[in-house]
Amino acid sequence: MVPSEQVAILIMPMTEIPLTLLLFFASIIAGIFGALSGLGGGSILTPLLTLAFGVDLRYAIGTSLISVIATSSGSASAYLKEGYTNVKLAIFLALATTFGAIAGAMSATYFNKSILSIIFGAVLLQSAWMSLKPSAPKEEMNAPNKTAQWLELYGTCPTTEGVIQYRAQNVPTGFSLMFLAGWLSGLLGIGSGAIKVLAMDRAMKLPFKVSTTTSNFMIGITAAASAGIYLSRGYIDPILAAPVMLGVLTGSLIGAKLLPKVQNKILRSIFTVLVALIGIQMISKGLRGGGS
Amino acid sequence: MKLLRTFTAIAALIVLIGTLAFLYHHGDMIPHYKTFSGEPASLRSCTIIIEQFNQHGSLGVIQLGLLMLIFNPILRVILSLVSFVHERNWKYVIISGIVASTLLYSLLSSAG
Repeated sequence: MVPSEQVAILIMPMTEIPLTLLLFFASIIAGIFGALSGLGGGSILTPLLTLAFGVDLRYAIGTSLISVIATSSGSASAYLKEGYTNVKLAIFLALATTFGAIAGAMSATYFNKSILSIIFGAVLLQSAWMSLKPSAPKEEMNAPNKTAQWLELYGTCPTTEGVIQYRAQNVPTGFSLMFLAGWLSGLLGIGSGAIKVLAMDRAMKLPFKVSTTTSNFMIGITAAASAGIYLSRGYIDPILAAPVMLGVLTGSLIGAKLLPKVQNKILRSIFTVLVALIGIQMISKGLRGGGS
Repeated sequence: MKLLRTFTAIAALIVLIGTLAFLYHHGDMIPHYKTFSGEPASLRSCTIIIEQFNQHGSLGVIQLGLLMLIFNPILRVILSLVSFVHERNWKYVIISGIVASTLLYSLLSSAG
């Protein structure tokens, strides 16, 4: 792998115009990959900014939060139309991610950049691992559950084998995992979609399509919870965030259009390897102590 | 949901206009992102961004568009709240009410 510091030095002496264009096109690619893989563009944006562009981690976190909201805004309305997103489920779990995100943003100042870099790498490795392990068929998908009944966490989902009924299981576990997802989102400026899918798909035994689309709906809400805190700390730089927002929006719209035409499996494995490599890179950078 | 799309499109347009204006005037500047200095107070506070966006040049305009983007998911929760009121689902009126007010409080108070 190319030493990241060298790349950063190559790119840095540029003036605003070429840098803005480069950021814009890099963000389009991040947005396309994020939309196609379902992992979100935010997970690769912070490493891209810090490792390739040499941006300070704090500016990168603020910029990434903006990209997360842009991705979620670009695709959430499209998914709602398809009838997979469960709004009650999203709103109930957003209770956990919102408070988690505020806690994460508040605690961010207690961690130094090296530790943040290592946590970030670990989260990326978890994302990669999640996309490698396929979702297992769930027998207890529609089992009676008192908590789910009271909170109305059930619904129907169209599949190739017809419409299936589902009901959330293990609600307290799912809720706790969502708090963790929110905390990491607030701490690192990411959407933490992989942990949200883990909570819904694995813990709460919900259909995979419902989990991923509901996660996408929630990601923007979670990011908005900590965005105000980062804005007030001066982490959101307009000149960095503007091309990234426009690029990621464009990219996720292109990605959503391409989605039915490309072979998802190949793309998913390419992205998984990429995310894992970046994760290792972030961890090694953190361990070396240069978490800029 | 059409409202949310329109809202996102307007936010993107404002950011685009601000970016083009900035590049037109300051395109030959060397950026400074390697070291963190933090944004000036005028670009940190919600109230200042909204009230004086025309006094801080193109950067203030971009920040206004970004603020609209951040507000987009909050609007999504508020729209869900409205639909729960229509359904008279009070349990979810309360839950979405807590989420919406927490989000609003976090955005407005921290950047005061």
